[in-house]
Amino acid sequence: MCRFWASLGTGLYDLDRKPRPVADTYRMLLEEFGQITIVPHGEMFETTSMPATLKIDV
Amino acid sequence: MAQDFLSIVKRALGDGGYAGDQHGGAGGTDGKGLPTGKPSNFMFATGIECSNPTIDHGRTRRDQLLECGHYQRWREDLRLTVDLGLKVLRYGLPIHVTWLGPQKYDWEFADLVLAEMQRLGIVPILDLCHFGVPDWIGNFQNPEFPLLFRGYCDAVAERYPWVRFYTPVNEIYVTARLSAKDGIWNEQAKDDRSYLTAIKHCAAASILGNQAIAERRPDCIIIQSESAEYTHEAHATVSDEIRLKNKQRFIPLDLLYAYPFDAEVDHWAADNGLTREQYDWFMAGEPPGYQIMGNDYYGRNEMILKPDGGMCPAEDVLGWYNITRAYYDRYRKPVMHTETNVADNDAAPTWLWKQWMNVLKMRRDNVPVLGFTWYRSLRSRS
Repeated sequence: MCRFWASLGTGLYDLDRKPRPVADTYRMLLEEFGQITIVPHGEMFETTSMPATLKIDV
Repeated sequence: MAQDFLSIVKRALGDGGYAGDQHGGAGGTDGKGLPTGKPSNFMFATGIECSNPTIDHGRTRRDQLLECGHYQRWREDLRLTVDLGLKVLRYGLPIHVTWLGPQKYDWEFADLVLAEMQRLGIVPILDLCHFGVPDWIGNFQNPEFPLLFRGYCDAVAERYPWVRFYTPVNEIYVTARLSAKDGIWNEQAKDDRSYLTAIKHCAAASILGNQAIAERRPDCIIIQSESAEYTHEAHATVSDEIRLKNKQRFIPLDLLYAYPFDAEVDHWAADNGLTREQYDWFMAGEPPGYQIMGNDYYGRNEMILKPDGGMCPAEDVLGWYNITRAYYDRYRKPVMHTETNVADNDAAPTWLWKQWMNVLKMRRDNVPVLGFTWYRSLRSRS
């Protein structure tokens, strides 16, 4: 079975747009972790709106 | 009688809850609560499945947006995203509907959907090529595709200047493999030369498209969603074929991120049509903008080749953590878990927790993981 069809798995909602159990689980996860930052203390390193410039990995 | 410091402090300030401590100290917040959408907020996402490859040698297009009813119910689908508490949505514009020819576009559907996203405060990660190209381009063997695709990316970025997050070409490895090696989609070829050609064209298209986007949005954030792959082999001696396959999985990102080839891959690529001049073009440098490496993981991304030659899923032998860690150690890009789900409805909640544990472990091992995606929002009909 090709990966494509295998990847067509469980959505958060069915085709009638009714939530599936995983939607409740995702909601629970969001309520527990939803306000964590991208990296620890990420407020200090908020995603900048400055243009990208550096081409080196430092 | 001598007093200890603590009794003095408590007498003066009370037993905890001290002023100032709410700013990241003991009185600070712990990350609970629905996502805020602030620039520092970890990106929790879902996606609307937007695959649109052709099968039957181009005669049939599998348009997942059509098959899940999204063209009719797009407003409701966006609302569901918001109602769940999500702020970020991987969203694929239907390339075959929007891009009608060189510099010829039909923006009607895209305009409606993106305006609604803006109204709802959804941050889209715009997916511009998801397993298919318009009929007039043909398939991924068309050498004109990369340059033409640059024009499409430029047009999208010009029309929607508020959009910052893009995936120019989704899952290059899977696109090329299923189109030109496994013979399932689009050109449906089954040979190495076609396979490498599709990889080259997709990687070049992504780079050129990325440049066009950066021209419009110098602060663009490119999330290159790529399948996290590995094949295990249940043989005492690893075969040349599987050893090479486990190296070939890196080729798309090697070309995209200008990471020099392994010698064995270099020979294979040269044998299958990658010229020195082409290789040098890819190795000139990385694409512009802020690059995030997206790693997609389904249980079948890992396979086991059995002694009898058959294949079976290896689900979670390595898992997202170990496979993605190998990609991270190679490319050193911030990471996002950009796709996961599982076919079994009852198993899905546990699978979600397992993927999230992978993400947390990766973060605790000091790899910057910027986001997580349960992909997709809607069950597919197929």
